[in-house]
Amino acid sequence: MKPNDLLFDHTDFILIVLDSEGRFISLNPAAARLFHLSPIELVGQSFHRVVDDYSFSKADLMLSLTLENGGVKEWELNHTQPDSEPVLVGYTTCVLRDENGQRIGIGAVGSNLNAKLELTEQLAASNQQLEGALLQLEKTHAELKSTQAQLLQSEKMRALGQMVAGVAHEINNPLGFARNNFIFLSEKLPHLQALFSRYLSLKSKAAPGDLQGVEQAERLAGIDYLWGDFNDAIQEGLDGINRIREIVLSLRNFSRLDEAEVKEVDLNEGLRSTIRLLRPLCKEHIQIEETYATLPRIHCHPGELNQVFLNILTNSIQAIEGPGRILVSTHSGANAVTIRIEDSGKGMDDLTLAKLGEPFFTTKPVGTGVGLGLSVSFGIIQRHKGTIRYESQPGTGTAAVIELPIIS
Amino acid sequence: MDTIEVLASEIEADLQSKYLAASIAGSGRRADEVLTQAFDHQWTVNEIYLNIFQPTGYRIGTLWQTNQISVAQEHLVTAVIERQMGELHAQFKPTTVKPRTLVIGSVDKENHRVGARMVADFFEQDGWTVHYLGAAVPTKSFLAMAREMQADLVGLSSEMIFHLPAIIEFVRQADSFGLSGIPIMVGGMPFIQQPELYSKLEVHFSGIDAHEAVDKANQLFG
Repeated sequence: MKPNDLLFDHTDFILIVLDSEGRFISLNPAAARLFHLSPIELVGQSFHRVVDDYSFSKADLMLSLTLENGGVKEWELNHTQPDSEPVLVGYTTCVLRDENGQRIGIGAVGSNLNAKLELTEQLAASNQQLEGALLQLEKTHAELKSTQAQLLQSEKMRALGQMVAGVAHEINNPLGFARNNFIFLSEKLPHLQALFSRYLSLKSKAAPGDLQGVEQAERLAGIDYLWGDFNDAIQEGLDGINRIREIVLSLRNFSRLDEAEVKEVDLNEGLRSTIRLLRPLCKEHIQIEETYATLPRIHCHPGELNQVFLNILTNSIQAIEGPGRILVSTHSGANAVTIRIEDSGKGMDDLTLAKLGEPFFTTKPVGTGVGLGLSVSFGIIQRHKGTIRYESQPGTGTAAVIELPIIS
Repeated sequence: MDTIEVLASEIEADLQSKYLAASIAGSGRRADEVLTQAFDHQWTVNEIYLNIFQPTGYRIGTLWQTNQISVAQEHLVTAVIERQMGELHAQFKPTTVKPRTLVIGSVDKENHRVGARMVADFFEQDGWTVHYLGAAVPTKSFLAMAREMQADLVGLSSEMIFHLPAIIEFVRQADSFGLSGIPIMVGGMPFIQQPELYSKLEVHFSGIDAHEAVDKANQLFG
């Protein structure tokens, strides 16, 4: 037996020769085993006879492309099996020609792909399970990261709130008696002035020699201006104390430590307090314009919402490099109230906008921001069943729009 | 077609093409990104089924027939789609509960199962009790299950025309299982190509997709 014949008979590859019409001319034992028919039964029969229904027209295409292009590679066809799943075979074909170049048929070499296919199927399913698990893991990780950030920030804010409330309380007492004393002085000064008028009247009736030392004392005291200065000093002192009082009130309003529970509040009041606290941070060239609509009272954690306003307003102030302005407005709709904080700052590109609210994302220089403010703000608004969205483009400023539902 | 429709159609074609490339490569991650984009375009989960999963399923069948992809790649695509269907299933929560039961699966020897599963999810969303039996369900087992579950409707999926005899066999044997006259719906490529084909098989209706199947079932049951 020639080596070629030995190979033909003993290889596991499927070797078949078909005529140009797709009928069997010869096939090796491996092919006969696959087709469950002997070469005698198949010679002269159409190749279609051994492929399954899925592959019927695809077998036609393989033969016609072979004749047209000289051959195909890795052409998959299914072969029906009597008692099991069809076997998938990958064929490589060529046109066979005699020594004169005359076409004598089509040669096809096939290999059984079932084992490979089974592995691929298992691999694909496992891979998708892994991808699904990975996806879940990533979501959980992101949630954890966000929760951690919220906890960190809320703990920081709680500590800060406690400190602010403590300081406010401590300032309140001395402020109280200082203010009372100034009020006392302003109330009593007119009495003293009246007494002094009497003195002037008596002085005008006194003999000139009796007043020698008195007039000198008056000059030394600068009596001509003293009453005016008294008035001004007391009034300015009172103004200063009243301003300190407002700041202390704002600090108390802002920290709202006494209001851990959900309350119904006027959000305009929270905005006003927050802006009052932030004004000292504003550079002189930044104007803050406030337009408040009448809002229904909102069921919320007021301290938390004030924290959101503070975060957004701080970002707005920091975004304005030259002269600029910040517009704060509120609006009441049928089911929600809207708070819009718009600045004329440097704005943001799409990439920054997309990352906004991600924990630890910041555009500020290292050491000036940890990237938690907005992440925490998003969390707070989400807990209030509201939404927060940003509108911005580089160079055109930024608007933060908060919507909070009106819940009766 | 107005501008918005043209734009929507371009978006759909773009997402379909990206999804096909990602799933043929077996990249669930990239395929997930396509779904995220679809949700960004405000697509519903139903639209993702009808405009991404269904066309992708049919497209890979055509690509295999012309040997442009391998069976192995078909498996990659199916694995991606089925994993995502599992993840999206929670979004098919029914809004109402209907006192109707559907038993659905692919007919004997029909290995394609994604189509039947899509229809099953749509019926579940519509408030039906659904028993999805999977691929290549032997006719007798299918009938026994329909009887046991007291099905009001049976859904038979046949993606290949040469599996239609299994539907005929199902109808023929229904009497012997005490299911004579039970409403039967059919679906799959042959019924998309020939919408009236169902009537020749003595079944009640066919749908070109899961949405139409639910509509027609509700018309039938009033």
